[in-house]
Amino acid sequence: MILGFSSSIHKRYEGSTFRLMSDTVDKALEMAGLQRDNIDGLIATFLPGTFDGNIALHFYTSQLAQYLGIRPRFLDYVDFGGASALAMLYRAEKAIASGDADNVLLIVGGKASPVRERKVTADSIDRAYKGITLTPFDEYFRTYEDMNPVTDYALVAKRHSHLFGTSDEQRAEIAVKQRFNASGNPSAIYKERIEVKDVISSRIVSDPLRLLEIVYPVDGFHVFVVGKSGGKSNLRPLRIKHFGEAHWPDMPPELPDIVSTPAIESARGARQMLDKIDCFQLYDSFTITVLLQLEDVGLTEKGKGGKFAEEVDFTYQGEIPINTGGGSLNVGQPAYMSGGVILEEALIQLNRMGEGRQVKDVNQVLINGIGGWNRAHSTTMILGE
Amino acid sequence: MESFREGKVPYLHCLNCKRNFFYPRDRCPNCHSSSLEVRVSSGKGKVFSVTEFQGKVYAIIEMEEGFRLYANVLDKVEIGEEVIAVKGDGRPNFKRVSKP
Repeated sequence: MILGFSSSIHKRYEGSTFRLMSDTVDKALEMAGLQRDNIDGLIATFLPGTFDGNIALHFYTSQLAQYLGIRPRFLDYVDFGGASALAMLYRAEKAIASGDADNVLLIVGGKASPVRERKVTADSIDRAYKGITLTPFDEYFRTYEDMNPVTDYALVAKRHSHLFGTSDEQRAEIAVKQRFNASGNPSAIYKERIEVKDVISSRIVSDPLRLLEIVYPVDGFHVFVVGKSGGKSNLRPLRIKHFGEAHWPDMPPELPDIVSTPAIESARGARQMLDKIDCFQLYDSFTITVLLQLEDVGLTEKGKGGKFAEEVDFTYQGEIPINTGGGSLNVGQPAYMSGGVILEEALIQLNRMGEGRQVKDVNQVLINGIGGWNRAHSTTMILGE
Repeated sequence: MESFREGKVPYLHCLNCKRNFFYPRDRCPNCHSSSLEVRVSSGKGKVFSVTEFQGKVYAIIEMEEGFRLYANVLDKVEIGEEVIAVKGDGRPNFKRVSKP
């Protein structure tokens, strides 16, 4: 059961990453009605460069526990990038059910700014720091120039258009509708309404993806507190009604095609429940990421994502609300992983805390996380009472 | 795989299932056989997908032998266009095959 959650997002946070993490933990514990002493479990994730610019933290989870002053009897580390947050929640619930822990902290995030300022991303970090390999065969795999993950998702968008006739305007609809949702979210960093022509006229970053289709990496954390009972928490007693996880470690050149994600497999068991879902939170590193999940989760057929984006009102007021807080395209992506953003928005909707963008009568939310370099991981979760 | 640095594209051929693959592993990714042979590609391929950023062209190329790889291309190309490997600075580059 999720007892508390919190987030702290800054375009650039001047203090230490540990301090930012610690403050976010305290806010989540306050909502949960718990003290640090009550915590006996910890699950975290990490990407190179996102903790005060360090490429690695030796025994990472132990360092976090040390700083927080907690002594866990259950400790875990999940490295599925943007798919991690949901996997962590699932693992925490299992640990609690089996008696391995009573109250587990989930910590997702870090500081993107030290990586951003070196003009790389977490997925091209080997271009800025030595001693990191991205694949077991980097010498043959890495080209002279790329800008991953942007260039890779651009290849996907280009091929999707080639195979299915998806237009730039259709992808732009995703940015426009999510921005509409963001206009009701006080914690979004981008709130001004935009139109399709604004997206189309924004700078091309990697053809065909434009600036307004791409997430902005920020400094920040999402912390979730998972415990056995409601206790002092005022949150709804939510449980995981479905969870699926799938991992495709093949790099894109070796996939049968690049226009599908492992959500096809992770969402398999959720597909027959789609008509009972009140809103969807789909991973949104890029507009094309959302478009792929519309198809792979099963909201529309493969190849029809563009048409769906164009024709379906998926704002928070619409028939199928998607990314109701504006998603990470508008909230920002802490430490190059948006899993916390989509999980937090699901909890906000389920607990009727959506202020300017609350969907009516939300009882079940489907959340889909995508992560790893080049869509290697997918986690699909349905949360409800 | 010195040939790689000379602008050629080596690949692995599985003697068991006949699959061709590029990224070097000691087992076939299809049938897990270790009965493998290094071969050298004709260098001819087609653009599987492509993007252009900051004036550079980055693509997935599908080679004549059936395997694909990431590559930089010296010309602006479209999906389906024919390209060929040429010597680069440490690994092959690709360029458009000019139409007669």
